[in-house]
Order: sequence, then C-alpha cells, then structure tokens
Amino acid sequence: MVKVFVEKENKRINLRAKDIDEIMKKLNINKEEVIIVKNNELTPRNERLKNSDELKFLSVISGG
Amino acid sequence: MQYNRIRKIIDIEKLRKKTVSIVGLGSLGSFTALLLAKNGINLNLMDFDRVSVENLSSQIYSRDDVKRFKADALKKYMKKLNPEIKIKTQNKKLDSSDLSILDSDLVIDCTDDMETRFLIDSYCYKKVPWIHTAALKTIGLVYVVENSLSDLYPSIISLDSCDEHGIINSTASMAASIAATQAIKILLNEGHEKDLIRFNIWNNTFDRIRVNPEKRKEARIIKLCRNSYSVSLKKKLNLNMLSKKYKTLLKKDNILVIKDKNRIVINSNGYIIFEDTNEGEVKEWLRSL
Repeated sequence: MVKVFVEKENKRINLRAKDIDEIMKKLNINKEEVIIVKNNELTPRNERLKNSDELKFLSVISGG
Repeated sequence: MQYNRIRKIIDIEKLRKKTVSIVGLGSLGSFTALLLAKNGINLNLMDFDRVSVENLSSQIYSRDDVKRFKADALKKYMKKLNPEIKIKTQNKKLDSSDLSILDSDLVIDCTDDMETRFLIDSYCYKKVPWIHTAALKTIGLVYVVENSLSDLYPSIISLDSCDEHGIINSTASMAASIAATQAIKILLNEGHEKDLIRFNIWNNTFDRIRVNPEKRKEARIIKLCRNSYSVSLKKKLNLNMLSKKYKTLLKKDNILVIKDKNRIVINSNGYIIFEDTNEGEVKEWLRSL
C-alpha cells in the first residue's frame, strides 16, 4: 500500500497502484495543480510505485 | 557600528559590494528587500505595480505610499533604513526585450506571475544564481534554482493569486527570511540549500524536498500564460548562427532575443521562451534547429 496525502483536501489515504498516474486518476487530481513528492523527492508522474512509498500531492502556489 | 552584530556572523564588507535584483515587490519582495537592505546589500528593485490600500496588511508599505510605484516607495523607505546602499528602480514589468536589467550578482523572484518567472529562468539559466519564491495563504516556498524552473513545474500551471486567495504577512516574512538567508549564503559562497523548502506557517509543517534534475530525460515544452511556451533542451545552442538566421532584437552574453513569426528568447545553454504562439509552431521551430 502507498501512503498518499492530498494537501488541497487535507486527505490522507492508503492506496494500491502501480504508478502515480493511476493514483491521480483514482483521486481525480489535476496534473496542472500539483507538485508530486515521493519519499521527500520531487517525482515525475510516470514513476512506478512500490509498497511503503509515501506520496504527497502538494498544491502549486504562485502568489508573491 | 550599524553592522557590528551582523559582522560577528557574516563578511559584511563582501556583502556591501554585492547587488541583488528583486523582481516583484509585493509581500515577498518588500520583506526580502527590507532584510537585504539592512545587511548592506545594494538593490535593483522591479515592479510595475503601485501600492494600494489592500496591500498594507501584508506588505511593508505605509498609508503614505498608497498610489506610489512600489519600487519608488520601497527605495525611499530602504534609503531611510540604510542610506549607504545603492538602489536602482524599474517601475515596469520585466520584458523579454530588456532582460539585461536583471544584471546583478543574484536575482530573487518574488513575482506572482509564472511567465515572468520563466523569463527570469531563461536569463539566469546556468549563468546567474537565482532564487524562486512563492507564497499563498499560509504556505510559502523557497528554492535556489540549481538547473531550471521546469524541474519543478513540468506542465501547464494553474495560477492562484494572493489577490484572490489572500496571504498572511507572517507567511511572507518567513519565506522572505529564508530567501534572504539563502541569498547571503550564495553571495558569500558559503554553500546554499539544495532542497526545495516549503512550509505551512499555520500548521507548523516544514518540508525539505529533494529536486533531482537528472530524473528529467526529455525536453519539456511548458505552456505558460498568454500563449507563451518555455522549452529546455539538453543541448547548447549556437547564438551566432541563430542571430544570422533571424532578426536579432537583443544579443548579450549568452542571451539572444530574435523575431521570427513572434519573439523568441534563447539562452545558449539550451533554454528557449516562445511568446504569443502555439505548441505546433514551437515544435516546428524546434525541428528546424
């Protein structure tokens, strides 16, 4: 199971999936609105996942 | 005398010879300018905007500054705080035809506009150190850009502004404190933070996120706002050859601005900004390289 945190909804959930894209589809996350962090490293969407990975979808902020 | 306490920690004489460009003088930019000015650093201040009453709670301006250009108001205030520093101001938006106004020892992006950020990226790419900052509501972000901004933002970016969503001043001052500290470390060659720093001041969460540009294998085409695109290629570009082929608007160091169908900003290290175009035209132009 992958531990997933979606910042926008302050939601924590455990999911089974082969890659990040699959999780984004399941949770209906827009690729344009997030930066993706896997195990504290910025990660591309096509990255494969393994059990015990920690995934965060953090909102893109652009204000100054 | 005024630097005695700082001098115990940092080489103030070295800092006083340095100039930092700050692009965007809202909440992040105004706090960052304040911190750098007090450390004796010369400033190049840029913003097209004027102070409004809505700015007063989250930016360092006073009621007397309302309707003044932010750069002018900030210069006046900074000169009062530290008359020794040199300050240049630009009351206009950063434009691709005039990127050399960024000439300085370091650039700090405090804007809220992704297109301007990518213009800074194109100019500074592998040449001038620069720091990307952003803040919204209670979340702040600071990143010393090691490679390119496209390592952080791989696709079209949804823009949220402080005008729309708000910001509390402690978010801005914390992000500014982190950015100013990193700026000082870069200027003094003291080594800087490699990770992306992101915090939520309301929840007291603080993340250090590793950024690994090597994970990006392919050239990326990123759509910015107003039909502009940024592309970072993994190859050097011959500016002399390109300047002969196209109408040249600007050629300085490793930057070339040309006019083909529309304006194109080219950094010889393989970074290109296309203005007012579409993805098809961008791909066609890249194939002609």
